[in-house]
Amino acid sequence: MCRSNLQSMEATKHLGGVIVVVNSSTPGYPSRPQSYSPESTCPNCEYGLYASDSEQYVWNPNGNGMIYESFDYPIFALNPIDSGSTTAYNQVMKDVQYNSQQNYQNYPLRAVDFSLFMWSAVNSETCLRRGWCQPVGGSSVYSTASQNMTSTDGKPIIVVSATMDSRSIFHDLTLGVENDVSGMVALLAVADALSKSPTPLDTFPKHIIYTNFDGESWGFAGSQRFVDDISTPFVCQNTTTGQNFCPLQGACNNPCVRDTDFTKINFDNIEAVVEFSSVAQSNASGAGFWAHTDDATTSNNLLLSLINTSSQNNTQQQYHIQAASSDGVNRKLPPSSAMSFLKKKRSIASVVIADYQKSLDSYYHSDFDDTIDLASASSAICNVASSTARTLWLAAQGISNGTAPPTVIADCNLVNSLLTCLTYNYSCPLIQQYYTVNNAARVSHYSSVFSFGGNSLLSLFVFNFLGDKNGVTRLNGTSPATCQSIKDCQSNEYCIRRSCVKTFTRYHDAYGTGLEFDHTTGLYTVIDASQPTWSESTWDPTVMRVYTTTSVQHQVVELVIGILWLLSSIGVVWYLRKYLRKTLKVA
Amino acid sequence: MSLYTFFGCLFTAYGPLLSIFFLYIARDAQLVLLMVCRYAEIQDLLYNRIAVFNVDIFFLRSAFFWLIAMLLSSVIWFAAKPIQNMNTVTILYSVIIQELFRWGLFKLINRAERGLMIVSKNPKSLFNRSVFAFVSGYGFGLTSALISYISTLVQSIGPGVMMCPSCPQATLFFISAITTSLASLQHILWMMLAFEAYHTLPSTIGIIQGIWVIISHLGVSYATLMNSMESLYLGCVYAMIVQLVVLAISTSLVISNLKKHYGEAMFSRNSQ
Repeated sequence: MCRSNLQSMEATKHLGGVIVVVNSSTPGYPSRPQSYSPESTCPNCEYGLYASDSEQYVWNPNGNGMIYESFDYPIFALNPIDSGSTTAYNQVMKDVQYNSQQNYQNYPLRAVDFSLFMWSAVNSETCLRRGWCQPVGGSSVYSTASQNMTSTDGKPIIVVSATMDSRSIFHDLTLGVENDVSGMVALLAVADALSKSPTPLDTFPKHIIYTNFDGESWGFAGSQRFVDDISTPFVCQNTTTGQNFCPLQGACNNPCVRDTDFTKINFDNIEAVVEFSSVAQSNASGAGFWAHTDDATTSNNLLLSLINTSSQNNTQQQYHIQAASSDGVNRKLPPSSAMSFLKKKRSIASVVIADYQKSLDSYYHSDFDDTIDLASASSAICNVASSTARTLWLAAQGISNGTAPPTVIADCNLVNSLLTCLTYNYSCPLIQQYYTVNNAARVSHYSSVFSFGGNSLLSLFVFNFLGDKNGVTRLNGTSPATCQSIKDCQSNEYCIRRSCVKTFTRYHDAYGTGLEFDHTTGLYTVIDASQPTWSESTWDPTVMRVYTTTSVQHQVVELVIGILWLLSSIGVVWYLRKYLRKTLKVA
Repeated sequence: MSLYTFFGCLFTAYGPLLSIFFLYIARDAQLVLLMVCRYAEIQDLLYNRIAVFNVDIFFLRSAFFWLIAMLLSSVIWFAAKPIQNMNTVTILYSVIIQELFRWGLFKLINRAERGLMIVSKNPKSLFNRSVFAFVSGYGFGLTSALISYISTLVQSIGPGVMMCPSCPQATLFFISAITTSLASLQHILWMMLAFEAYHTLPSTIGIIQGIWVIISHLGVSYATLMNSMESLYLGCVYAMIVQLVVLAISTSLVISNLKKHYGEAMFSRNSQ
């Protein structure tokens, strides 16, 4: 699907709708293009750190920008990924084949009709006001092993970050193996590796906070809102009079928040941000990992430490981390959450680790970003996670020259499981350890729409996983205090893996910073149109029907026969009646 | 656009029934009203009064009888799980039940007829009897046509069609409309033949006509199975031919019956 194809079809004036075959199981079907990205050439750059720069680096030269276009005809995707979609796919393919056998002229032919009504109107502001749109977003998760962190403890903070959501044209099919599952898995692997540190993490002179932001594909909604919330003083004006539409029974209903624990994070203490972009090396040319920085001087120490650790750690050149500017060109940061931090404070050291140097992955934000070579991806992610974890272990203790203990190393089996669970099998044994999941295989990585208190399956897992790694299980005597739900635990505890755990792991609302919830109306208003205000239209149930149809001539023939039959019946009855009256003088 | 199909099927399926209703039954019902209003004409129209009175009653009663027959068939179909998909068996017991109810209907009308004849000034008209049979048959035909086809007809409004398995060039909607139309005519003729037969039993001609009704009812029902046979090319045409042949034979039998009574009817009216 590309713009020129659609345009040529539109030009015929007969285009009623489009069925896009994302994956074909039919032999002889055209194979995937080498690269395909429906994103813009510089994704989300208008909300990024360099938005006001005169010339921004083009990170996604392949991007055709289709994701931002509106189409006034329905477009359905066919992708045989489960039994339901396979049935639909097979049916449609059979009918396409039938029609082509009939030369598209010999009726009866197969026809299709679509019902895809979207309520959206005008723009986000109007649509949100009318209640026909909802903000795009979800729940970010942040977590730290420093249970007793306060905003005034003065300890520097290192943020380790990754993106939770991805994006593609067909939201339900969004998977994003490279972008952004690989980075997310690396983040979780780092948290696991550091949790095995022989020195307790909360005794380190610096805090390490893991952040997994949701809604990032939509103007960095998660990270920008997080940074905004922790960098501006929080004032709760708890409303007790009048109507309040805040659905949360949380810490504050105006502004409407779940908790106020994010105020314990002092933005001014943030010293460095280390972020994983795509790190699965799925289309790597053996070039390794690249560390992107905004400014070489502020981030130099961190960068060098990463490069050193990775070369000590890995014998394979493929997994070494190199400076992205090693070729003498400073492209600055690729689209990333780190930008949100730097937008507020440029002096934060920042490194974005990625498997690309000059341009984003070839299937960036595309429905084609759905394949995975489990073995090579696990190996790549595991190695980069180890290098990063060991670097962080040193950095958080301010050790400039040293080696992390051998226990601080990423678990490659865990990485393998995480990759499987978060791409094709959400009901995997690893997730079952945390909670019971039935019949969830491939889950969408589109952040979906924001709702107060709502968590996607991805946020739920990340919360439980990080809560587990950064939590302290309460002991009843010598055995852990067991629980079935959070109700069985004390007020500051969570029920994770059926034990009561105390942890500083929280969800954080993620939706465009250009939007604000109006607690007096329950609606969202646009407060700053220059910031992301993405919203999603509500829609009527979508239906696609395939059926057999006859030609108009055929239908007219049926009508004519019917009329003739009716007329002749009338004639016969009329005649018989008359005849009987005349001859029999009856009836 | 598919409204063409809808109206085509509507007129095909219900054309004969609609014309009979509006040109014969409804007009006579109007006469009932006229009769109440115009006292002076009572004498002239009294003959019609009895007939019309009966028309309304027997039309509804026969429709009700057919529905009961169908209900019973459905109960059997529902209860007999192992033979649910065997259309041949279903048709067999359904036809037998319909014929039993036809017999019951005849018995009832026969009894009611006697009562009505007492109030009639023209109790000896044999043509009355043919009218009862005709209208009862119309009730059977109309009800079966409505029950068996109306849901299909409603679906023909939609954009999609189903093609007839045995005649892939025609829609199932249209073929069913033809079947329905012919079947409704069959029901009228069968009722007239059956009533004639039950009146004349146990004469040979009565037995022959009675057997013909049952055999042809079964035959026509089984013939419609050819519509859905994918392996039988033009099966729907064969089914239609069977129906038309049966219809022709039944029509000639009815005409000969009427001819037989024609003289008597004339006689009874002339003798007044």
